[in-house]
Amino acid sequence: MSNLAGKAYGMNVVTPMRPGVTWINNFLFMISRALPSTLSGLLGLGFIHFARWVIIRRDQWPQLGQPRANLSNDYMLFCSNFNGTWDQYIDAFADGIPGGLDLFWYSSTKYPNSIPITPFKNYIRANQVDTNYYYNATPGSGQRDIKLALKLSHDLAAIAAKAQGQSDAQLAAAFERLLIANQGGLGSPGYAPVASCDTAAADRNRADAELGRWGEGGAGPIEAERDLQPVAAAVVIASTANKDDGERAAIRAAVTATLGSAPLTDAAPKLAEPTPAPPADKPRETPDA
Amino acid sequence: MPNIDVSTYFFTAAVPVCNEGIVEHRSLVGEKGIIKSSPIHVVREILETLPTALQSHATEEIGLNSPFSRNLRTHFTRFVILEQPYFNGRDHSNALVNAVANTDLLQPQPVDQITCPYIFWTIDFDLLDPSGAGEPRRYFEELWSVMAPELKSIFQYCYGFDKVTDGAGFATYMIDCQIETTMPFHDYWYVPPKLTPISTAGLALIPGVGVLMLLGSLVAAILGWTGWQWAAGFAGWSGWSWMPWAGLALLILGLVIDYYWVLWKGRQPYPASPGADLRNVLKGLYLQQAFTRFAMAQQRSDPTTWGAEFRKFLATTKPADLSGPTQPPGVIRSKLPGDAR
Repeated sequence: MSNLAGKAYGMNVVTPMRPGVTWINNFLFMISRALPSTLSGLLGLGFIHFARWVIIRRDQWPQLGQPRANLSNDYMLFCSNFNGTWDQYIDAFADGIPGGLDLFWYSSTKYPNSIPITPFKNYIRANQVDTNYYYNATPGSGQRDIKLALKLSHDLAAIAAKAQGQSDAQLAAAFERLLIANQGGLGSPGYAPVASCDTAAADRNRADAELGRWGEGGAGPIEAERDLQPVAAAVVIASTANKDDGERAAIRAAVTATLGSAPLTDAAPKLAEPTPAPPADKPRETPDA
Repeated sequence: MPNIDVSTYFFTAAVPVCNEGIVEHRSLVGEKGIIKSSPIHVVREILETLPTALQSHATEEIGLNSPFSRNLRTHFTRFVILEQPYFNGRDHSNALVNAVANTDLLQPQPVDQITCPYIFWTIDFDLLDPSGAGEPRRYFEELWSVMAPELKSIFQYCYGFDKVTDGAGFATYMIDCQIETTMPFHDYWYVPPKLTPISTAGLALIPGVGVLMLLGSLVAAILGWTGWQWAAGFAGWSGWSWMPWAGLALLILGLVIDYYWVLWKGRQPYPASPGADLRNVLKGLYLQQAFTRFAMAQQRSDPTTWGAEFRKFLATTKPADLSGPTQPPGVIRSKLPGDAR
């Protein structure tokens, strides 16, 4: 799927944080909310519909019966719904509120700071997870279109509430005042610029599958049974144990016939039996330890 | 509570997928054979083929709107599959400290592995009650009533989902998978919001007194040390030995109080933007387009007719009536009288 839904781009960034410093990031978020003037830069950007930062501590991953992971990091999930391209967004972030960004990712491991921009972009892209399904209820309108539409709607409703008792001349004057006050907010919704030919082609290529499943008379949702043991365990074990000498001989004969030469494995010098490795001083580290 | 802000619920969940075994299903495209794949691959395919909003020429031609458009509270939602978190390399460390401590930089640091893929689900939906009472349970029950087949299809391989049979069960399941949103952000304020900051004077009060006492003690100590005992006594600090400890205690106490005060204040939701829920947004977009068309038409007409025409416009578009005429969710633009299609 695509990170795009109409004019909105859905960004997801998952960054690791050392548990000892997670509380600092949490405090920084809370103090920025407690002092709302610190968010004026973010509000001033004017192209973010909704965004969120979610701190997921090591013990906060929902447990529903899956094996428990032995994690050494907390994680921060950042999700944003913004207008414009990825590059424009990161540029605007770094140019507009570099200090704020550095505070919001303060605890993230290896965060390179927002200036200079290239390492910052590399960091975001390296930790970004693409969106698999993205829905936007207002795909034709940007965030500013929506705010201006809300203002116009509010003004129109106020005029409509008083229209009954007003003469045509008064209404005409009200119309003129309304038009002057909202002349900057009469945008027209439309399609987003095509991000790439591939994105447009992907939409077209999904048509058959989408209609075949969810269209009229479609097959409906995929509800396929899962086979937990598609190959019997005994077969798997037998194949790895390599015990069937008869089969091995047959395979060797087939290979010899194909190659037209006898195997030279018997002619090869015999290797000495390897001596057993000395026991390790400490237990081997497992990847998820 | 940070899940709720500006009269919106910021729902975040991580749903674990049991990615064991294989799944067979019939292909709808290509050679129409049986496809064998891992469960998470099927989840990806389901998400790929779930109808999006009518947001491009191609999706408009398909003509199937997203199932989420059946709900009039959902602004944005997304599903994101996380197979494994990214590893950003070895932690930063100081070269001098490494040299002194003889740190072996070739010794690898542990790399996190999660034991199964997760589906991250985030939703931004309107609250019916600004206090958020009954949410998000109410929302999920609503959603189940309009798109249960799609939801079952997405979550069918998730741990514990086999126990979900109805809307109430689905809501309970999703609440079990919920992770609290730490920092929500929403900006549909068309008038600047009136947000009350925490009192900085209040924050500074107790630690400030503590710091002053510590400074006072320091000054008294210097005066005493320089032999100006009379000056220390004059200032009332002749018996000052308790003061640095009291100052230090007040400083620590004040910082602890400030920390929890900031956490509490930060968790308080910002006030709602008046009339900015999805139904108002859709109505606003409809009015924006209708009014633009109307204003353009009036440019060429006699100004003496504007009043009567505007009255007709208001009667037709009903600005205060959210139920209609309005724009449906998940489309590019409203269909207005006189449109070609």
